[in-house]
Amino acid sequence: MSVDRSKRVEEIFTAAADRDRSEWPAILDKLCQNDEALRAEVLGLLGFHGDGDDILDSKGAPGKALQTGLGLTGGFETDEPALPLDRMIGRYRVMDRLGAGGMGVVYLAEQERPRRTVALKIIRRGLGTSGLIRRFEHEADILGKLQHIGIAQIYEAGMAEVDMGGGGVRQPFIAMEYIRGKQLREHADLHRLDTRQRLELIAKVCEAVHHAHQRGVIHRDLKPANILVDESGQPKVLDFGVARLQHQAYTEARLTAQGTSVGQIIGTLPYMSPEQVDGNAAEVDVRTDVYALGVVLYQLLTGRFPHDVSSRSVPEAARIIRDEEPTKLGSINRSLRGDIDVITSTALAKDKNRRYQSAREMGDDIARYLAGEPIQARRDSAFYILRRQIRRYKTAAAVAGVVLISLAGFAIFAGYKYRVEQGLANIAAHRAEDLRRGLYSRSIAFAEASYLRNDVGRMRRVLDECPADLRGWEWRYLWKLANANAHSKQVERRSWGSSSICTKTGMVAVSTLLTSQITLWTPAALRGAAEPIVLGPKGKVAQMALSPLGETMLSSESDLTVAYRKVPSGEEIWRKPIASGVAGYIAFSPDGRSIAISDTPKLVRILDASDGHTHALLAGLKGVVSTYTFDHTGTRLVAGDVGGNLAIWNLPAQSTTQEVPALATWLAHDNTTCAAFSPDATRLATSGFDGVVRIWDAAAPVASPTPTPLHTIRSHDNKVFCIAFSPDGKYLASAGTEGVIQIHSPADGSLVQRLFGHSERLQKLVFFPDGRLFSYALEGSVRIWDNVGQPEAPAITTGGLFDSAAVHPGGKLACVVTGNRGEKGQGEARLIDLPTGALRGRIPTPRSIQPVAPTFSRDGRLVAVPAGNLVVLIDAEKGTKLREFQGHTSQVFRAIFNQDHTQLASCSNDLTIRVWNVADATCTATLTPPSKLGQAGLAWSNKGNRLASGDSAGDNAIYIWDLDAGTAQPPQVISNPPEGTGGAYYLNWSPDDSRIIATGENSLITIWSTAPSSSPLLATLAGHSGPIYSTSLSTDGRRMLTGGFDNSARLWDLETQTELLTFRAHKGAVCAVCFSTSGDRVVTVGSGLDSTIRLWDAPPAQAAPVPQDSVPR
Amino acid sequence: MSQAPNHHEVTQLLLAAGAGGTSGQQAAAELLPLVYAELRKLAAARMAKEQGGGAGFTLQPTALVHEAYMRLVGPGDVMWNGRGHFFGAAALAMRRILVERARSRMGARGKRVDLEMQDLAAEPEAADLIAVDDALKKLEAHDKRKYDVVMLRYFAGLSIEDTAAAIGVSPATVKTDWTFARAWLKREMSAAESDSSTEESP
Repeated sequence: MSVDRSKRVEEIFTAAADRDRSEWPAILDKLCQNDEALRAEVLGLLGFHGDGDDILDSKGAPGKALQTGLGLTGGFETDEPALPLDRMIGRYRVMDRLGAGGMGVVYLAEQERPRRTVALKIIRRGLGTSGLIRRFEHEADILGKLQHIGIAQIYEAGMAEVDMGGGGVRQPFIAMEYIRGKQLREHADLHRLDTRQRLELIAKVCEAVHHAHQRGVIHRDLKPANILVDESGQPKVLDFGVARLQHQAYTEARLTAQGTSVGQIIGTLPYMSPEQVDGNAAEVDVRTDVYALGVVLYQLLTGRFPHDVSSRSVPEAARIIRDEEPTKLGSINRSLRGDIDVITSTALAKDKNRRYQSAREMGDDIARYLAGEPIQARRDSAFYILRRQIRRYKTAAAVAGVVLISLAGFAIFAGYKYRVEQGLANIAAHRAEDLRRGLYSRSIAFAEASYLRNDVGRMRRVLDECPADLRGWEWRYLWKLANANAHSKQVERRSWGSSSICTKTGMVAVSTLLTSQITLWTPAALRGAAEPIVLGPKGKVAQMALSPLGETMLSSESDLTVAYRKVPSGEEIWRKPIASGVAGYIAFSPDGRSIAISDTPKLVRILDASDGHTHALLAGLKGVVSTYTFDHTGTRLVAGDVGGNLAIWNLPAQSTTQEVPALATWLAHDNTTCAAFSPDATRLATSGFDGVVRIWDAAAPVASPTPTPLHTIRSHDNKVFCIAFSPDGKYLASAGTEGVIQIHSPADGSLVQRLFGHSERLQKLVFFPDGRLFSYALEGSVRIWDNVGQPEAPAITTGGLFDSAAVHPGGKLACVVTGNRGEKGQGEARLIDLPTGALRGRIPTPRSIQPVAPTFSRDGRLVAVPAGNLVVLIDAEKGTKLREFQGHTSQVFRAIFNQDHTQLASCSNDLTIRVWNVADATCTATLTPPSKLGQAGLAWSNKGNRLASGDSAGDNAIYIWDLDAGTAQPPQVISNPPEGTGGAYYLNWSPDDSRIIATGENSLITIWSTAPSSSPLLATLAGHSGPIYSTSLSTDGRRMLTGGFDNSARLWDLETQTELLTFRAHKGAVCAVCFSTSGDRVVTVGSGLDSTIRLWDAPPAQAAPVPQDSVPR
Repeated sequence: MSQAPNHHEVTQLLLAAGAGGTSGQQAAAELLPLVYAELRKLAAARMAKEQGGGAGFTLQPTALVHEAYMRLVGPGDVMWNGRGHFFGAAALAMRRILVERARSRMGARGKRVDLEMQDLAAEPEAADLIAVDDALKKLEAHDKRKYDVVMLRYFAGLSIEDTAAAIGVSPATVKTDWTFARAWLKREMSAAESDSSTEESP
């Protein structure tokens, strides 16, 4: 098989594999065309895809489902006698009759000069006053100016003598571009266009319609019959503004021809918006066309109208259009669920304020969908739609109630009335509540996704929409994230220019490459309390920088000079010619007396700020110089070039004309973008196009020709453009193409924090002396961050590798077990105070073969640590060992306390479960599960009379032991044949003991009924991609936390059975999670390579944080 | 007790392998025997325990590989493309160990195996493993990148994202490669199975 061929096989396979099986034949028909061998090969492979079921090999016809819609203008035949061919009308020679429309006949005609074929529409019969004629001609002029590839152009409109044979009559006519093509739907069906291609067509139509809207022309009568697709596939909208022209020309005729205009209405009615059917002409605007585009889209995708009004009377049809929601696209065709459905229903919104506000918005959303990006229409409408739904349920319930009552005599059923109404309302409310909760969990997930995509604005909008009564920990946590970060201000729309900030005065200067001006934003202007100051230099500004004192600035301008000016007056102090434009940024020394520029490749020029003379030329780099930075004393300088080299110099005290050689030159990046000294100048940080930030000992390059960086930071996904040290030297900020600022610790190179908010490439990062970080990005906004060094969930470490852990129910203490895995080593349990990380105690334990989790008592005072065949009991307050529980003959897997911590239950590899007295470590009961496998999961019921245990591996059962019934009594067995439980390492009882929530080896969370039942499995929640190693149930039993081998912890809503949030900070399996009893804190502990404890705090429910949008000073 | 290779040595090899070039290839080649030895040792310890006790913890490639990583590389900071090399070597070593074990347990006869996700954690049947091994050889010749994806996903248990980072392609590519490769392998195994059955019944 040739390479091309197997590539093709793969492409087609990939295209089909993601889709539903039922779609395969159609996809194969389309992609394989007539190559049967190819088709067979792909089909063969698909047979092994997924669960391998046979697929239908029928050759379905794509697009077959598209039905023919309502007959449009059919039924209304004009009685207009046709014009004889070859007749001249104005400048047009009639060639053929194309068809008859609502108000006239369309002819194919030829124009002499310029020579072209046109479509000539002759509007029927008489006209009123000359005033109307003038308006008609005036409007026609406007329409003539609509020139767009997607609009059939109107060449001329006017009055012409039309000789019908019985003498000339002056009639209005419109001459327009003649399109060789098919009507939209005909074209789509003929070419068997798929959904994607159909959407592309509509996006083009939206573009054309928007063009007309911008010029003040509304179509008013958009329908497939008015949209032709030419031979190149370009849709062309016909009759723009014609509806109105016709109205003008035909006010009189319309009145007289009411009998037939019903036919006209029937053709157009399905495309009419609620405001149109209401007959309110003043309400008609561009959004009326958006509605019609929605109908066209709906029809093109499904072959149906949103509202089938074909057999309805006109008033009835109008009512339907006004009041009824159309069938959702997704329920007509499953593949249209989701975004397409949202786009269509947004266009079809009853309330025009809820529609797309322009055809472009609609077209853009279609384009976003086609590009796989999130669409805008989803941003805020979900709860709105739901509220509508709920209202409808309530109305339905009330109506049904009334009907029932009226069927029966009121006297007899008077007593029922109340109950019936209540009952129906309850059903409606219950269903609505389910929907509302489901929507809430999805909104949370969407808000989190928006945050991770760096779209904080959308995140806030989504959170803001969430109903207050459903907002839980996850909402408060996300709301904190959404509002925790910077104060921001848009200072430039989008700027590829230069930017600078003076940390002393807080002034920001911005210049763009496009305009020859520098904008100075004073702190007051950033707050919105004053206007920014605009300076207009002579030439365009390439680079500029404010001096550290803020009283002057240097700019490099396109006339090959640098100008030194006063700020904010802009008055020039001196101006000097330079060799070429300044390549890199302009850097001032800290005292403002020296300025580094580079106007010649390989050289850095140091200017004396007093008069602009060249103080020194620094040599040593090998290419165009891209960046330079002074140290804190202003006596040393580091510069980098585009070849990735760095060089370091001591600056001469006296001005010199000799080139100053570098102390050292070394290769560090593939294109150096930025360099920064730490405040004490002992460290140097550099960044490059390679996306790497390196931290060097500042002395190292001088000591060695090939210095090794102290730390190499690779957490950026793309080019890094700017870096900055915090004033205390504790943090290094770096950012670039990604638009996310990363904060690292220069001491160990570890990632401390990410700052989300900018949407485009970062241009500038500068710290204020007080530790706030200033940033400026390409989208044109500045942000000031006051939370640097306060990451969301700081990592707490104690050294050593954590094998397993447990967290105090209040989230204030953690117990980690470490060092248990060695062949001979002794284990150790450590008690760590949270959030300080202080060590409260270290308790040696015998070694354990498998790392197994300790557990806290419910009051948090005791910890049980399984260690080998023993269980070690620890006093959590004092951090000391209390006693050991001896009796098991093989490794203990779990030991848990009952509710009042008077008893301890343990399960072991010796295939027994033992119950102990906590006070004296005596064994009070021994249970023997009917299983050949050791029990791994163990949980006391909340009432304390039952114990649940789960098999350690694979596929067996959960056993429920009734302790009141005695140890001889066999346990109740819960299983789900043939799959079993899938391994139940961790078990939790619901607060009312009616359910058990199990997790374990198979990555699923399963919820089981504890009542005897043949189908005890109530629900399965999937999300983790590996075994689940830890769980925690909220006090009210509504939320659950899980942590797993996939390094993630997840928060679940057990009521809607959906995942709410994912915590991904850990680099090792999450071995302990805790949802604190106060409900404000989540604690997660990572094991192995990670071995950190992280706290995720949300503000308490009563405190409502307020968003801030301005930049304070 | 044999001297385990120290963290530093393995880390150096990984860094060198990550740097690429001839010396990088050399370093990657040196990595394999180290990883192989360590995995064998770990697997032997696990199996001894498995036979001795009743706990029924099966031999899990993923867990073994990650444990080997921790023992060999430690918690130190190794750049990710270096880690990619480690898991590449580990996947190959794991495959060898499992196939050797399978061959020692039974004759070399293949049968079809379902490569679904949930099976990955558990040790596959011996016969299935051999069939996978054979099919993988064909895949390696047919499409090296897909082969790499399967090795890392199946034998080293890497996630889609980690696999993508390790071989330097996008997660979406890994996903489609993984989907395609599974179907491809299953087809090969199925073909091999029917071939062998026709041989048996003349």
